[in-house]
Amino acid sequence: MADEKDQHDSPYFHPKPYGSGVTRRQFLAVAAAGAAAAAAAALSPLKDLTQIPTLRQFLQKHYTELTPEEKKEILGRISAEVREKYGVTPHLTAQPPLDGVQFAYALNMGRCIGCRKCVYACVNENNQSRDPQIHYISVLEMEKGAVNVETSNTDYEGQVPKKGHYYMPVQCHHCEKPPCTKVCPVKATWREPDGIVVVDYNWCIGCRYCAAACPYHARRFNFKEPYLPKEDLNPEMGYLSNRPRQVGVMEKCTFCLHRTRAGKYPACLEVCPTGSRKFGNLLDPDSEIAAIIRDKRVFILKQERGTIPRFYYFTDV
Amino acid sequence: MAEHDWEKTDAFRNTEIPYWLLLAVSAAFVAAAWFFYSNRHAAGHGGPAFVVKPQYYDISPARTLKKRLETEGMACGDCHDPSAGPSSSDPRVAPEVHSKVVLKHGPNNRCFNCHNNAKRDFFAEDGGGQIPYLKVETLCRKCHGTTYRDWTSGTHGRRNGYWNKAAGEQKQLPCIACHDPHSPAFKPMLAAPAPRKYTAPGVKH
Ligand code: HEC
Ligand code: HEC
Ligand code: HEC
Ligand code: HEC
Repeated sequence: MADEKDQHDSPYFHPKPYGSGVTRRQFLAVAAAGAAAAAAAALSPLKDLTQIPTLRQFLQKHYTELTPEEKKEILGRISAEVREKYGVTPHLTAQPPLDGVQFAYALNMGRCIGCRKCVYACVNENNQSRDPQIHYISVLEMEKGAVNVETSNTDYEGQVPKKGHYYMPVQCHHCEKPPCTKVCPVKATWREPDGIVVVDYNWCIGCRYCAAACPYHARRFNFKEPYLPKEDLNPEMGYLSNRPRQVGVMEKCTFCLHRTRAGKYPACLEVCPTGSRKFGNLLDPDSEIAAIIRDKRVFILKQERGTIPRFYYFTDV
Repeated sequence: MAEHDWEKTDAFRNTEIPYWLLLAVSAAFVAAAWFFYSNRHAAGHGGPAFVVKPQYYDISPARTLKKRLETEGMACGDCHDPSAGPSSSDPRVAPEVHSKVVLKHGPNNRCFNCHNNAKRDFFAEDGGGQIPYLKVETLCRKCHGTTYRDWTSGTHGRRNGYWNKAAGEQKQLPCIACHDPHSPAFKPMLAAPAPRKYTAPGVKH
């Protein structure tokens, strides 16, 4: 090596005069090789990356600007992707909001016993990742006497209800003035005309501003590639709701949009053993939701935030 | 500056690095590489994936519904002869044959507040009338008028199926799908498992 000799002459290089040990140079060389190997290993998961968007995905227009034909094409493409990954042909729909319908949800705080059936009915319906776990509903256990979300507990186990406690499930409140949609830099999340706040997983860039803006801690981020066993896939799916998500996107409760726009109740309501969960069309005076607003004591979580939720808590008079 | 003075000020350059340190550092790199490689699919907690068992989201109500008023598969009329006339025994205690029945319905402690004395296959409407099994809510309505009103408006109990009746059938659970009529307080149940603590990358709990 030519420059080695030059360096030997330089006053800044002082070759080790002893016969044992390693020179700094040798040490660094070996260390660098080791670091390179470690870095390669750490990056090796990227080898398995399947989520590199195709050009078509990349050039997709914003959901609200798609023509029916474009929507159809996109649904076909996603169905094919699901079939390839899970081995089942999904029934994938993109139902439009219904005219004359304003969805709202109400939860009876005096009845809920905290059994968490809603949590898993939701997971089962909406194809959430099982590993790491993604739950849209958090059930808070609180001491009777005050609504104190800060001192609430979510990891109780065993027989419920626990003495001296009450329970408050929290999920997306589908606010009329949603702070989460306001902060989205790319408009990947917005409020639909029927009151449902949605996320387009193809549009989301994963910046997580929305999660920070939500006062209800209702948004969930896919920090890792979601894991969902093939046999657990729910093939009844909607573009804006429970179609499989990819790593790096935000998701949350959609009032089971693919069910509710077809006239059905959401999955969390269907399962509630106490009948604490109520859902319906605010504009229909005969609906249970209208009856609750009319007859019951309704309260709004963090009302002072001015978010005007479409999710109410109530107690029997 | 004297010729070798700078050597004294630069401890690292001047220090002899022993072989064992080189070996230890390389071994540490290999171990780290192996750690990253072997963990590339494991989740934040490192355990096996959580299994969502069907009982966590089973929609069947707290009690199993029957099709008619019966005990041990027999209709009440099989033993109770309507022509026998009203019973004269203590109307507050269940006889030996019905030892399963333990009344814990507060001041509502008489069998014939609810069961038709003469026609045992029916419930008791006021004035000796009969309420069929499938209209049990009219029995409860006798004393729980406000709850019954809530049930009819859908705010008490549970409706299933379609919120939009134009799109499909709407079902409603009867009172006894959730309440045992003899001891009606809603029974405690086992909670489905708590969420595992999720550790975001770089965050330590
Ligand atoms: C296996 C036969 C049998 C069947 C079936 C049966 N009972 Fe009885 N039941 C009895 C006997 C025996 C007594 C005790 C009668 C007595 O002491 O006069 C009794 C007593 C009662 C009593 C207490 C009041 C009384 O008459 O002494 C009630 C209330 C009653 N039965 C209701 C019912 C109802 C409701 C059903 C249907 C769900 C039913 N029984 C079915 C055998 C039966
Ligand atoms: C609050 C009203 C009420 C009262 C009071 C009441 N019952 Fe009942 N009983 C019912 C109803 C409703 C059923 C049907 C339950 C079902 O099918 O799930 C029933 C069912 C029964 C059965 C059949 C249960 C079975 O599963 O085998 C018997 C026997 C019976 N009652 C006896 C009695 C006796 C004896 C008394 C008095 C000690 C009594 N009941 C008091 C409402 C009442
Ligand atoms: C004859 C009147 C009467 C009838 C009929 C009646 N109940 Fe009751 N019920 C009462 C009374 C009185 C109480 C209050 C009990 C108390 O305060 O401990 C009560 C309490 C209850 C409670 C509250 C229990 C608790 O501990 O929180 C429930 C639930 C209930 N009834 C359900 C029913 C159902 C379901 C029916 C119909 C199968 C029914 N009741 C029929 C009189 C009645
Ligand atoms: C989906 C299940 C469900 C159905 C169906 C249902 N209830 Fe309840 N009910 C509950 C629960 C849960 C409570 C709270 C009970 C508790 O805290 O012990 C309750 C409470 C009650 C109470 C006590 C007073 C109160 O409001 O807390 C009465 C009375 C009652 N129910 C009557 C009825 C009657 C009458 C019907 C039918 C018309 C009925 N329930 C149908 C689940 C149900």
